[in-house]
Amino acid sequence: MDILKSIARNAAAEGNRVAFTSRAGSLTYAQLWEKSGRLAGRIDAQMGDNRDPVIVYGHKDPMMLICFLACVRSGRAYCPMDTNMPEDRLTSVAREIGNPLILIAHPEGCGLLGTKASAAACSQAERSAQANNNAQAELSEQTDNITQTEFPETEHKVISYDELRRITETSGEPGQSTPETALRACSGEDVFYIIFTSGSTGKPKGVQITADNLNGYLEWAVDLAGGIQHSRVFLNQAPYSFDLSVMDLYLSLATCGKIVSIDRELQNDIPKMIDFLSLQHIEYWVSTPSFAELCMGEPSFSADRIPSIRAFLFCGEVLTNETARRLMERFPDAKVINTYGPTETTVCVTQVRITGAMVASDSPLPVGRPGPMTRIETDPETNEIIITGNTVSPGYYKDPGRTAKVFSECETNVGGSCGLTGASADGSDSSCGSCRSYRTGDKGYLDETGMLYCEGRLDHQIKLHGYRMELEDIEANLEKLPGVSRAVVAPSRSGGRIDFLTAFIIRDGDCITDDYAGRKAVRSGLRELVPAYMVPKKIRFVEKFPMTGNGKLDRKQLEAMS
Amino acid sequence: MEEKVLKILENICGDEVVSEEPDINLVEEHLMESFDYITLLMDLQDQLGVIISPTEYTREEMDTPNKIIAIVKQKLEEA
Repeated sequence: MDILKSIARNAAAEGNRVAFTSRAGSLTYAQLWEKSGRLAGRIDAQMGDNRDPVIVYGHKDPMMLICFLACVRSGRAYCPMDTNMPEDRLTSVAREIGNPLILIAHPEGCGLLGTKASAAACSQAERSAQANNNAQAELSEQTDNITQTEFPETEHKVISYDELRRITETSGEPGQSTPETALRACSGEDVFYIIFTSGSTGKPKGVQITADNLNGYLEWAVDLAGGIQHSRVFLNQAPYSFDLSVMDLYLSLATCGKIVSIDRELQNDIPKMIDFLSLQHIEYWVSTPSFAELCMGEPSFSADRIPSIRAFLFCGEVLTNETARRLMERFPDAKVINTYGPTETTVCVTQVRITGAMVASDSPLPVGRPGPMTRIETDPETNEIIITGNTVSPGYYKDPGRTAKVFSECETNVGGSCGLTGASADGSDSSCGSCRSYRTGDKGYLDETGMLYCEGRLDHQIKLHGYRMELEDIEANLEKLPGVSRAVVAPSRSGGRIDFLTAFIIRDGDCITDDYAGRKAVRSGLRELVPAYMVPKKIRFVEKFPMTGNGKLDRKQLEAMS
Repeated sequence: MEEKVLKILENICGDEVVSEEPDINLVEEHLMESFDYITLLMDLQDQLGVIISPTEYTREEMDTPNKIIAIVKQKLEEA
């Protein structure tokens, strides 16, 4: 698989097919290829020998895709930054790279960079993000200084949205643009994209994914859900700065599919969104489980309304038995596929089709088996999941310290091949030449058939009154109780110590009542399943859980509510 | 004073039922384990200046919010 070649082929063979559509606009394969080619030439001419990563700022505009491809076709990695990122995150990433080129693929511009058309044009969400930022800047003079020195109006290299449109519409003047034949696109071990994830300690980590990583991932992923068929319709829920989006974006582009991308505003109006998805005939649903749960709050979210859905592809967080069960009830003909993998190993590395028997069983759902080019082991002492294979990132951008802590060269690879082999797309046998290992920080185990089960983060292990326990263990047991649909346990801390636990519970029907009798039933039910010290002191019934901008469960916000 | 004691109990037991039903049996309902009982005595001392030693009363004499309030009241009057 060579993703750029596949897209070029699609553009040549089926150029009129729509590659991307959102409420901001649409793009055919021919347009995507042509426009990204023009922009690639311009980027290359402007940047010359500078091959630093390029920041692409925006949300769900078709220009995002054009920019991504333009960067890699010019031989530069792209770094997607969604508009939901706080501005100081953008600043710190820009500082990390060192005055990079920034492409504004957002019609409303970017406030921090002074490219905003007018204050009135900026959305409510952005305004409040900015207000937050201002408040922070007032609190910390240092932040303020950094913002000002990092982005002196005249020095940063920015291509505005209007300019991007102009560049991509018409062929550039000679001299202003590098001819296509002179461009050297990203390939092999070149970094293709960098996704910054929030490190647990302040500074974000830039996960570098190479062209080989992405191509290796796609070779495996095109077989998801029994094989992705040609020219199908994919849902894109995740913002592009969240690596879940890589699954829908590149799987779709690799198979000549259409990406239907839904923006934040639409995601906040579920009935309207369901109308939209129904009209768009979504076939492959790619989202976090939390997002599907949110949709199931709407009774109309079912096969009656969206009969086109063939499969749900989940990644990014735990898929619970309950969520899968309800989904299979609503969409009896659709496959539910669970996958697992961290950003550091290119989206996901295992997959399994969830069956009725798995859902009905008492044990949590499996996350799947790896493909032929990935090996999974667990640390015999800590049960930490360790992933080795051709999709493991070379490490964090400009951060050898944090890279060395979790990444290593595949040991068996020293002096030869590690034995991971598989057939590549062109039919030849490919073997792992230079694969790496990554320690995930997730806990899990492999059963006797090689099926992986993930039991959550190692760092969700807490200590309460001297007892060591797993929040996820308590949650899984709460969810066994009749009448409990979902449970999340959040610790209340004071002075770095945990005082007590609060269980937030979404009820299923009314067999647990929303009063003291219900809270008591939960406590006494749980006491029969776990030791008394693990029973949360506070039980709170809620309608739904808060979600992060990426559509994952927001544990921090729950902690603040406890 | 009553309100303060109930607030302390709500914090310790983690459930507002202690204010809604002040005759509820905290021990039988598993709302107050022995660890919590020590916390209660410490909080009463810190917040109301009422000193009760752990052996002064049996758990049965202190097993409902109303009983606890009555003892605190008595202690405050004696002082």
